[in-house]
Parts: sequence; structure tokens; C-alpha cells
Amino acid sequence: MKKTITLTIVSIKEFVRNWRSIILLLILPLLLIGSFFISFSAEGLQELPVGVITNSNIELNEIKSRLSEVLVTKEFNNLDECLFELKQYKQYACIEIIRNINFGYDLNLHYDNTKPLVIWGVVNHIKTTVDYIKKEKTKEIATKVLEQAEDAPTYINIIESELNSLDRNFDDYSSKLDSSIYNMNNLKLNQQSYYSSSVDNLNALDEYANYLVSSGVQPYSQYGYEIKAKSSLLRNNLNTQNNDINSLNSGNLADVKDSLRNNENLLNEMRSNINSLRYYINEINKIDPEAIADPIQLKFNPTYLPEINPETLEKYKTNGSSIDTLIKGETLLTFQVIFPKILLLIVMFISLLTSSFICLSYLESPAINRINTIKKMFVPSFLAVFISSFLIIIIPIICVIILGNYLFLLPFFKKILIVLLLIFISISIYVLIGMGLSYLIKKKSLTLIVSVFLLIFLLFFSGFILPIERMGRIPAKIALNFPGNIASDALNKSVFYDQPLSSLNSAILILGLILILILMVVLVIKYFRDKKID
Amino acid sequence: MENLYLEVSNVATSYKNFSMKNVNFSLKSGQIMGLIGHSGSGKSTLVKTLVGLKKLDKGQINFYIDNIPAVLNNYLGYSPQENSLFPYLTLKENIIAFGKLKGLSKSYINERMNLLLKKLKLDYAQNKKIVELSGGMAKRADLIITLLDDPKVIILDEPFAGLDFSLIKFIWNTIGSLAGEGKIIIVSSHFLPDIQKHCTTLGFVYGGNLYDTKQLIYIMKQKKLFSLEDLFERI
Repeated sequence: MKKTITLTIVSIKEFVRNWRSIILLLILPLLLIGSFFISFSAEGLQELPVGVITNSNIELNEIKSRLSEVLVTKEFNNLDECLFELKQYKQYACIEIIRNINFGYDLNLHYDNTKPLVIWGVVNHIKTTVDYIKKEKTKEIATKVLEQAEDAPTYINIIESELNSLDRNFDDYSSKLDSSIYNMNNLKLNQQSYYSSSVDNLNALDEYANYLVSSGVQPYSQYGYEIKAKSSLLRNNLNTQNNDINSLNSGNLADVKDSLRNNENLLNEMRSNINSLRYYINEINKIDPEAIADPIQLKFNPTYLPEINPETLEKYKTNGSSIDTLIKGETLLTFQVIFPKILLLIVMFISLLTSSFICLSYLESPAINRINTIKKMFVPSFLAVFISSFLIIIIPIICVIILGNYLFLLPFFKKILIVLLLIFISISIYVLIGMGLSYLIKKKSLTLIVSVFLLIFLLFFSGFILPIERMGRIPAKIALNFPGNIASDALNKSVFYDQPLSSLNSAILILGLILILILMVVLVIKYFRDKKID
Repeated sequence: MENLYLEVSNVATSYKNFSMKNVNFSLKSGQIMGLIGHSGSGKSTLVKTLVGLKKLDKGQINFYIDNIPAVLNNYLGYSPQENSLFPYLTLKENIIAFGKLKGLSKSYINERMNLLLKKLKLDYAQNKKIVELSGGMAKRADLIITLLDDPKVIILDEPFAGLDFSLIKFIWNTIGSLAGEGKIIIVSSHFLPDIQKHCTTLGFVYGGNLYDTKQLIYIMKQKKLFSLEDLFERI
């Protein structure tokens, strides 16, 4: 243990006193990763040029103003001009707007699919813009239609009142008809008795006239003939009148009354239809135009929202700063959710490079010839490099953790045990990998080149550049089992979703096994390389 | 004074395509062996084999103190050809570090440090980093580390490379005084006149073999050579 401590102190002193190593291995990676980190825009794609072509007299301002939030639009006279610029990588896409025969628009989008990482963001933004405008237009039309429907109840009320009045008229007509039928029937009855009486009187008159005629006394006989003629005329008139009256059929009136009743029933039916219509019109008036334009709405509910430290909140309030961006923080939230991954990437970079450097500094140290003459130095030399690497690496990592806790409001300190455990295992793994490379290759320049390639490989499979979900099945399976990704998932679960240590057991176990495996491999490499001392 | 005896018998060693075989010699207390040979003849390979940096393919290296077998490595002081100290540590820090690595106590380290710093005239430079020392000072510093645990067998591989005359003389004086204390010293060097002058016995490495003093004299007589320089020129 004494030898280990002595060599560890020597390694640390050698590292710290060499200002080049501090700059190259600590400050430079932090600066690089910091600038890499800062270069990400939380707002996504910004100011990408897109061409817009239209020959029709189409109002473009709405499309342009919506697209201009992210894209820079440029108008072209024709498609060829725009495509020319696209193929020179001056435009990302060309949108050709054509009016179609159905009074709508066709938007032909010509996009540069040689830029797959970016172009889908552009296409998505254009699609979102078009969908938004479509929705707004539909809403506009729906609003106009619904406005028309607002007057409908008034007309329905008018119709209803007219119906009511018609109904009342029908009642009136019905009662008048009843009265007419009654009068007619009475008339017929009275007429019958009147006729009978008239016929009797006429018969009596005829009888008198016959008497006068039969008397043969002039002028009375003549009077008798005139009376008989007049009586005959009167009888005819009376018979005609009687026939006319008898021919009067109250049944027709009854039919009319029945028709009136039927019409009244129809009126009631109409009334009930109008009530149904009124009900539907009311329901239509309750409809929001938005619901017609956008019947299926997708609402986004992120499961993770950052808690705000009350003191920090107070500080921002006192400063008068807007805390909206801090809380929901599109900016803060975006950086927050990638911060643990960034932390582990920093761990990977710094651990690998620093341990390689320290190990190679030890192996290439002038003192190595002397050290190799001292017995029982295998374990102390190994441990000294490991511990000194670890101690040098942990300082910037702790700084990043403090930054994450206080500036990005991630609960690292609340979960300090889990965070430190995961960081410790991650650092150890990458330190051992760096040491393994150094023992294997033994040349500084070559080892650092190989380390860089290894870092690029690990960075790619970390899922930071290309999400693991977009990889092929086998590469994805491999990537998922990389220590960085296992540690990243475990850290995210703990920090964002407050998962306890017990739920991270499998991840920690796997990481532990990976650590042990790499340790064995590195020890074997060191053993065989130590045997072949130059 | 202890009676020291170092015996190397039938040692064979190899490195890449080069090999040495049948290396035989023995040394007693107070003897200084000068190891000479052309560049690439295998002197450093032999030295590294003696100190344990290279494995013996064959043979034995035996060491006795007052006729009692002892482990050579426990009593060995080795100064490699290149300066072998931690460059960014001070001389004092190097002394303490190597003392601890060799398992020496703190008090013993301090005692030896003060003694050797004075002997090799580096007291004023103890707080300077090795990178800040001149070539001569660095070589003397290296010697201090070599002599820190008071070794009984001291092997110096090309100790005079890049040094001026006065420093070379100083080191030979130091070697002489160490031999006077009864230590066994093996010096490998290209400085033939000094080797001839200061060494009590020679080892000529040539063609994968080591020729001791007797064999060397015989060869020189055979070839009618009168000096080591003649030997080097003719062979």
C-alpha cells in the first residue's frame, strides 16, 4: 500500500506540474464539450433558406410569415431557378404553390434529401405550417357556416309563430265549418217543413184556382188560369229550390273539416319537426369552429417537469426576470434532459484521455527503468495509475455535477449516492480502458490516436448523435449494452423520475460486471506487456 | 568490511534478433569491472539481464555476502544509461519517493539523503525539479538515487555520456571511493582510456560473447594489439 500511495502522489505531482497536460487533458476537453453543448440550440432548426414559387396571384404573406419563424423564405419566379439554387446548397427546399381547379391550392415541395439529418426537420416545419394554415382556413369557413346557423332560430321562431297562427285559423275555420254544417242541416230541416207547408199552400191555391177555373165565370176563370200558371211556376221554383237545398251535401263540408283536421295534424308534425330542427340548430351553435377544423387534437404532456428550488425561484422573482423560460423552460428543459448524457460524455472523454496520458507518462517516464528494477511493483504501479487518474478526473466531474445541480436545477445532490456510484463506475470503466490501450500500444502518439477513434466510436454508439432507436437491430442491441448508455439510463431514471436505488440494481450489477471484466482484461494485458520489457 | 562475491555463470540472454551466450565472470569486493564493446554489441542487454530487467534464458547469477548466498536484487544499485528520475519532481522528492519504493524508513532516507547530497555536491539543488537541472547535475542526482539504499553491487550503464572532463573525473573518484568501501562495481562505457585506468577487471562484449581480462589479454597478444583502442579498431 505504501508503494501505491507513493507512486500515486508521484503521478499526480507529475501531472499537475506539467501545465501542458492540464490544458490539453482537462481544460481543452471541458472547453470543447462546453462549446459543443452551447452550440445546440434549444429552439431547433434556425434560419434555413427555403424558396417559394407561385405564378398565381396568391396571397403568400400568411405562409411566409409562418415559415419565417424558423426558415428564411425567398421568392422565385419559377421552379427551375429555385432548384438551381437548391442543387448549389443555397436552398433546402422549394415550395411551389399552384391554384387548383377546385378553388384550393397544391403545394409541391421539392426538398434536398441529401441532408437527411436536417431536411426532415425542414419538411416537418413546412408540413406543420401548412396543416396550421389548413386548420385556420377550415375554421374560418366553419365559423362562417355557423354564423349563418345563428340566424336560423329566429326564422324558426317566425315559422313556429306562423304555424301557431295557422293552427288557430284552422281551429277557427273548423268551428265555422261546424257552424255551417249545423246551419245547413238546420236549413235542410227547416226547408223540409217550409216546402211541405209551401206545397200544401200551393195545393190549396191550385185547388182554389181549379175552383175558379171550373166556375167558368169570367174574369174569375181567367184569374183561376193565371193563378194555376203562377202556382205551377212557383211549384217548379219551389221544387227546384227544394232540390237545390236537398242537393246541398254537408258531407263535403265534413270532408273539408276532416281535411282541415288532417292539415292540423300535419301542422303538429311540422311543429315537432321544427322543435327537432331548433334543437339541432342549438346543438350546431354550440359547436366550436375549432372542433370542425381540428376534430382530433393531440395534446402533449411531458412526464418530466423540473422542480424549482424555492430559493432560486425567489432570486429570479426579485431580479424581475421572467421565470417562464426557467420553469417550463423550453430552453432549460431541453438542456436539463440532455445534461446527464452530457455529463457522462464528459466522463468518457476526460477519463479515457486522462488515464491514457497518465499511464503513458508513467510508462514513458525516465524513471520507469529504475522502477522496473524494484520487486513487487506490478500491483502498486497499476493501482497508482488508476488512483491518480481517478483523483485527477473526479475534480472537473464534481464541478460539472455542481453546475448541473445549481445552474440546471437537477437534483444531483438529492440523489448524491446514486449519482456518485454511477459516476464512479463509469469513470473506472473508462480509466481502465485508457490504461488498457496504453499498456497495449505503449506509444503516446499512437495511443492517443486510437483513443480518439475509440471516443468517436463510443460517441456514435452513445445515442447522442444518432438515437439508438434509429439504429439497426444488432447495432442497437450492442449500443444498449454499452456502459455509457446503461449508466445514462440509470442516471436519468434516478434524476428525472426519482427512482430509488433498488430499481437500478440490474443496471448497477451489469456495470459492475463490465468493470470487473475490463479490469481482468487490462491486468492480463499489463502482465504480458510487462514481460516484454524493452 | 563484508566479503562480497558475484558469480555469473553460463548466462545466456536474447533480445529480438540479438542473443548473448556463455557469459561467465566473477567479481569480489572492491573490484571495478569495465564493460566495453562496440555500439550494439550487447552491453546494455547484459546489464539489463544482470539487474533483472531482462529474463535469463540460461545460466545463473549468484551473489554471496561473507559466503552466504544472498538475493542480488536486494543489494543492487543500478544507474541506467538515460537519466531515470521523475522529471517534474524535485531532487528531494525523487529521493524520498524512491526511498519509499525501496522500503526504506523515513529517518534512513533523510540520513542517506543528507550524506549523498553533500558527497555529490547537490545540496543547493535539492529543491529544483529534475528538468531544471543540467546534464551533469542530473547524472549526479541519478547517482544519489542509485546509492540511496547503500547497495553492495553497483551497476552503472554509460554513466559518463554527455559529461565534461571534471565531472567524469568526479564520478570516477566517487566510484573509486565506493570500491574502497568494498563494493562491487560494474561500469559500462566507451571511454576506453578511463576504463583502462580505473577498472580492475575488464569485460569485452563481442559477437554475443563476453571476454574477461585474461581472454582479452590473450586475444590482444595473438593479434599483436597494444591498446584497447587498437583492439576496437582492428575488430
